[in-house]
Parts: sequence; structure tokens; C-alpha cells
Amino acid sequence: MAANIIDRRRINGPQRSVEPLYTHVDAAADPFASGRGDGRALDQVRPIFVKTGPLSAHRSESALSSAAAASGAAFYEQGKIRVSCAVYGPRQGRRSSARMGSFDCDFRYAPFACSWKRRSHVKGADEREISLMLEHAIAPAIRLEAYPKACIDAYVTVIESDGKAATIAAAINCISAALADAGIEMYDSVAACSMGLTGARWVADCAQPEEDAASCSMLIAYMPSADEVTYILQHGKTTPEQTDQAVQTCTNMCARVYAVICRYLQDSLE
Amino acid sequence: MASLILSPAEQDYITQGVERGFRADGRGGLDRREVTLRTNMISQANGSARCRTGYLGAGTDVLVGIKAEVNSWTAGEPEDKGAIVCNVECSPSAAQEFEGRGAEELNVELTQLLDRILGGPQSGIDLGKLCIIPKQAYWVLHVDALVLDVKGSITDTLVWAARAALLAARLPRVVVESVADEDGNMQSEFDVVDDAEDQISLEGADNLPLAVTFSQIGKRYVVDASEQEEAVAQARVTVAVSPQMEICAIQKGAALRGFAPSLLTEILHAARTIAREEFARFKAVFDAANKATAADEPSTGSTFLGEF
Amino acid sequence: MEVDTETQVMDVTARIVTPGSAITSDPGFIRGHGTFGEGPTIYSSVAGVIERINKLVSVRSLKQRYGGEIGDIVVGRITEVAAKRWRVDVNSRQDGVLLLSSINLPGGIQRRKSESDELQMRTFFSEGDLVFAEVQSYFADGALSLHTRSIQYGKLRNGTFVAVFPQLVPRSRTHFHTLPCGVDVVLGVNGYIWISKHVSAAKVEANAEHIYSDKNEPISDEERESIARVANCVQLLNRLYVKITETSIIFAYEESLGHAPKDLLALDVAAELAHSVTGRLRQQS
Repeated sequence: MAANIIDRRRINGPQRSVEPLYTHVDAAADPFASGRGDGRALDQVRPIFVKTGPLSAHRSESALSSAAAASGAAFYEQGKIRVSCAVYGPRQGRRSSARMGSFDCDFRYAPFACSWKRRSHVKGADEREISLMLEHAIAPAIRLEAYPKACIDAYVTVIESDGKAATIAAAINCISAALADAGIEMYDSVAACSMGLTGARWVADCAQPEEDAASCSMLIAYMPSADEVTYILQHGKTTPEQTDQAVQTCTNMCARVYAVICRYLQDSLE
Repeated sequence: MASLILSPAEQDYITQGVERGFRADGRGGLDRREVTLRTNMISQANGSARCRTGYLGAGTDVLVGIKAEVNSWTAGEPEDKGAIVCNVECSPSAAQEFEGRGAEELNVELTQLLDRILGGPQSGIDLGKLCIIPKQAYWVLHVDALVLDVKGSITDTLVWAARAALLAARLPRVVVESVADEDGNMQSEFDVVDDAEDQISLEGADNLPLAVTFSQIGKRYVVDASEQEEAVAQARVTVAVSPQMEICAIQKGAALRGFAPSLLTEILHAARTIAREEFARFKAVFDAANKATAADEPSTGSTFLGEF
Repeated sequence: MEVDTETQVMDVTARIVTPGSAITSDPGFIRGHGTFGEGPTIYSSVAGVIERINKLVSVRSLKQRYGGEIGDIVVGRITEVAAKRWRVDVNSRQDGVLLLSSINLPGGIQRRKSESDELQMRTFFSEGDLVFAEVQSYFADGALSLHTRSIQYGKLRNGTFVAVFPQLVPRSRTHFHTLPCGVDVVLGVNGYIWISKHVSAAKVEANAEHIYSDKNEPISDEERESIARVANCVQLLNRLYVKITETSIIFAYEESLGHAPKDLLALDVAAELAHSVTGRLRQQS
């Protein structure tokens, strides 16, 4: 480093920085021996709240007159995670084929969404990847052949995240609800759920500290009525038996999440 | 990849063939194409490999180079570990649609897949050994892949090439010594030994996984799908398996449909059976490639192309 | 390349030239394809082989795109459905055009095209479909105009597609062959080849109503094996850079019978086959 050239235009920090001190809580050999921190069972998903329609009531009044308003929107909470999603379309697509519509997804974290540091407002590589994952997870559910030449766009904003895999799962659930709100034809709603492997136990819907302690995470998106896994992602090492077990538990949990979302959609229609 | 449009008759021919276990090029459902491998033909890299899956000099072709760099530690990073950073780029020489930003989506997908397989303890590489001085300096291994040609099944070829390159990679030795600074505090310092003869291979590289990608076509699935088969496939899932038959990563790719959970379980079991054969095949091909490299003259343009 | 200015006569046969090399400075020669001239000297504009027909000197590039000629039999893939026409990828500089008025409509008899035909163009050919057609004429911009007005032309079914170098498929009297192994092969002059299960001509005619059907006939495993074997043989011939004709395909097929179709393209088997096939071809000629 060229330390002899002093930059006088900016305020210069010290040459060396010191890491802030943290008191480390010693994780016991089995952190879940006495249950989870928030008192949940190991296979219990955090409480879910869904609401369709625009975030602010003010916008909904102008929705009929303004073409710019989204066709469908949803807000989704799962514990501390808060995700909102707006769906536009089906509308004239730029790159869709004559046979089938296309589904595009844009996933963004709000700058203040993550616990560790402020996120840049420039789209990061991980956001781009998650956008793709969401497209892959949701597209099989949409009857794209019913929308030739059209495109459907979903814009997801994470207002607050708590556990990466759980946040992606929440985003999938949120898009599902928003698509239903937009009246887009689907084979089935997609419900998603994540788990983390800590020691030899699978723990459902990990919050950030739980996820940090986990050696492997599993995310599954599932269509319960159609009985199809639309997305699966395993990050980390497991034995084959553990994977089998995770697939089974996860699909079961997805079915439970699905029931919650469907109940809400039914209620909201009534 | 999805730019190929086939006629309904071709699609039906491929689908029927897969369901009967007789694919368009005569292979069975779980048969793979020929693999060609060359290692360490890039002298500037710490390790490199080129892998091709296909027939008669054509096929999916991936080049991977490993570059090791010393990084200084900053707060928030693991204190006593090195890192592996992956990047995949699809060259426009592989396909017209990769020109400009056309390959961006595929690049992101493949980069993340490779990162998912190699970027953590699941890769089997001992990241602790890549630490030089805790909280001060560590090695970063940049795994950069270049997709030179695409004829279906990029992921498997990519992981083959990355595995071969990491196995072939050599790191310079590092000498760490304690020195007292002017205040009398003990400080650790290190020196990288600049000697081509005195280099070490990566600890734990033998445990690197291989990937098997399954494409569902009709009611059945195939491995090592050709370009045409990929155009017909309803769903695709990549499973990375370690030599100890543990599952290191699973990732589903872009697709029109999902998998039934029962089919997914079947695929996970098939993945291990195939991976066992794949590891044996890898060893044979890798050893042969090493022998060829050892026998060669110093790398020039022609040895780079070699049998490719 | 040196030009022999002394005698001004050159042996312009069987010479390989690179772009920019002078071929001859004899003013008696006429410039053909692949050449350009400044003054009396003729230069090559491509890398290839010099060909001379009387006074006409041209250079044929070893690798080139298909340039159509009227009467060529081609295989093409529909890329776009437009107003009263389809655009067809024929491996040429521009997409070919198949006019709605240049196809046979179902029903066999010649009838006037109605508006309803225009509306249901996709039921005849849609994007991705493979057609077997003949080059009818050129458009003003050089695009090829195709037609399928014959019972043997039309939509291709029951098989698989292989693309080869166009210059390897010579123009001949017939481009539709039924091989002894019960496989039909359509050798498009543009390098697109269709290999399918044999369907007898009588059956084709009986099915005139269904010429635009997308349905395959049932194909047995044995037929699939033969098709796969022929397809792999064609790829092998392409790799060997050997003319792809009925004879060469049959030779390759016969030589390959000792191996399973899936092994044909493996390096060692392919090398062995290459040796025996080229040997037989040389013997024949």
C-alpha cells in the first residue's frame, strides 16, 4: 500500500482497524437439547401472516384508473421475515415466444434488511441468483402456455430477513399469494419451506443464528395438490438418508404452509 | 440453451425413446458420452484442466483455471480459514446467444452451482489449511471456468473440469515466522517460497465431489442429456456426490415442470449408483491425462489443444 | 504465392490458395466465385481450392455456407410464421421463404387458397417444424423461395435430425433414399439430413389427408436402433469429411454392424471404422 501518499481531500481513518469485541455465547454440543430459543418445536414453522393487495390502502383506490399499478400484490410475514411482492402482467412481453409466456422475477433486499451490514442498493450477485431460483421455483406452477407472447413479472422486496433459506422460502410463498391475487392461471400454488441440519437433527425454518450453526440447509418448493417438487436446493453435506428424510419432512411442512396460504386466500375472497 | 426449438415429431421421438430406454444416439437412459480430459496445460495458473463430454471432437467443452492469491483478513470473515471463489463464464464461441449479455443468466446459475459445490466444507477441501496466519492472511483459490462449447449437460462437465483442476493444482509453500516489531510485540510474518519445485497439493482434494445431472423427459429421466434432449426436458436436477457417497449439494434448474417426490427419491438413489461409476472413470481419465501432461513438452498452443 | 509472370500460364488446377494470393495475371482468364481482380491479375478472396472450367477461374472454399440453386432438394426448419409465408432456416445466408401458395393443402386436389387457410397456417407448419422442400426460385434479395408441391415433400416425421457440412452432400438425381436396413434418409443439399423409419410410398399416399400431422407412427426398438446407427454413421462421415451419399452411408452402416450404436462415436471405434470405410470408398472409386 502506498502509505506515503496522503489523501488530504478525505477524512483519513486510522491505518489499522480493530475488530469490535463480541462476547461469544458458547454453543453447547446439542443446542436444541432443551428446545429452540423461541420455544418452537423442531419441525415448527414460525407464525405466518399473509395479506394480498397493495401495501398501502391509498394506492388501491387508484388501482382501477392507473395502468401503472400492479396486477397483484402480497405481503408475507414469517416470524421476523417480512417480504412484499408485486406482480405485473400478463402483459406484452419483450422476449417471450409465440408458444408460451415467460415469467421473470426480480428479487431485492432492502438496504436495511440484513443483520450484518447495510446492503448496497446496487443489485448483488446473490440477489441475481435468488431471482433465478424464484423463477425456477414458480414457473412450473404457472400455466404459461395459456399466455402466449405475454410476460409476467414479479418484483420481490425483502423488508427484513432472518435466515437466508427461510427468506427465500418466504419469497416463494409471497409470490404465490401475489400471483393468486393477480388472477393468473396456475396449476397449483407453490409453498416453500426450509430446514437446517444441526448435528444430526433437521430443524425447520431456521432463524439467522440457527442457520449459522447449521452445517447444511435444504430448501424445497412444493405443489401439494399436483404432488410436484418445483424446486430443491441443498447447500452442505448430508448422508443420503438425511436427504431422504429432509425431502419428506420438508414436503410435509410445505403442505402445512400451503394450507395457511390457501385459507387466507379463501377468506379474503369471501 | 433453451433457444433450440424442435418440431413436435422430434420431441415425440426423443420422449418415446427415453421412455423405452433407447435414446436418439443409441444410448440407454443412464449411459454417458465419452469424456476427454487434459490437465495443467496453462502454465500461468496454479492448476488447470480442460474437460469435454461428447463424441468425435465435438461436445460440451469446459476449461477451468485455478489461481491462488493471498488475501489480507478483514473483520467479518472467518478467522482461520481460506476461501474458494468460483466464477463461470460462457464464451460466445460456444453459442451465438451467449454474445453480449446473453449468457448472463446462465453464468449466474452455473457460478452459484459451482460455488454451492466447492465454496464450503462440503467440497472436502480443508479450508483451514488455506489459512496462512489467523486473522491476518489467507489463501483465496479462484476457480474460473470458461465454457467453450455447449452440446448439452454443462454442469457435469463443469464439475469434472473443476475437480480435475483442483486435484492438479499446486500451491507455493509459505514460511511463517515470528518477528518482534519496534515496540517489542511479537508479530507473525510470512514469505511465499518462489520455487516451482517446492509446491504442495491441496489438502482434501481427493474428497471433492462430482455432479450428476438428471433430466426428466416424459415419465423417465436420463443423465448426460444432449442438447436436443435438454430442449425437451421438463425438469432438471443436479446432485453432487462425494467419494464417500454423501450428498454435497442439490440444485434444480430451470424447467417447465417439477418432480414428483417419489421420482426425486429415486433420482437421489440413482445419483449414488452413477457417482460410484463416475469416480472410477474419473480416476482412470485423470491418471491418463496426468501421464500425458508429464510426457509433453512445455505447454504451447498445440499441447493446449492437444487431442482436443 | 508467386505468380509466374514469365509464361503467364499457370497450372490452376489442384492448388490451395489463401485470401489475397494472386492466382494468375493472364488476361485470358475470367474471374469466378471466390476471386477478385485488380487489373489483369486475379486474386483469391477465400481460402480454398482453385477450380477451372475453361477460362473461368473460381476458388471453392473448403468450408462455406449453403448457397442455393434452383432445383435443390433441401431440409429446413421453420423459424417464423409470417403473413402468407413461413421463414425457413436452410443453413444459408438468409432464411428461405415458403409461400402459402407453394404448399399442397390437405385434400390433395389443387384448390384455391382461402382466407381460412391463411388463418390456420400454424396447423400446416409452425415454428420448429422440419420441412422437406425444393428450391423453386430466388427472390430479388437473394432469399430462396421453396415449394413442397409434391407428395414426397412436406413435413418430416418419425425420426431424427443431423446437420453436416453442406459441401459434403453432392447434388444428385435423388435425395430421398430407402436404405436396405429399413431406414429412410433425406439428404438435404444444404447439409441438413433427416433419418427416419421407412414408411412405404403407398402408405404416404393413403395418408394424404394427414400430411401435416405431428404424430409419429409407432417405432419399435429395432427401428430405433437402425435409425441411431445410421445417424451416428452420418456424423462419423461428416467428421471424416467424406462425401455423404447413399453408398457411403451404406458402407459405414455395414462396417459398423460389429458394434453397438452407442459405441460408434467413441474414439477408438470411430478410428477403426474410419479406416475401413475410407478404404472401401477408395476401392470403389
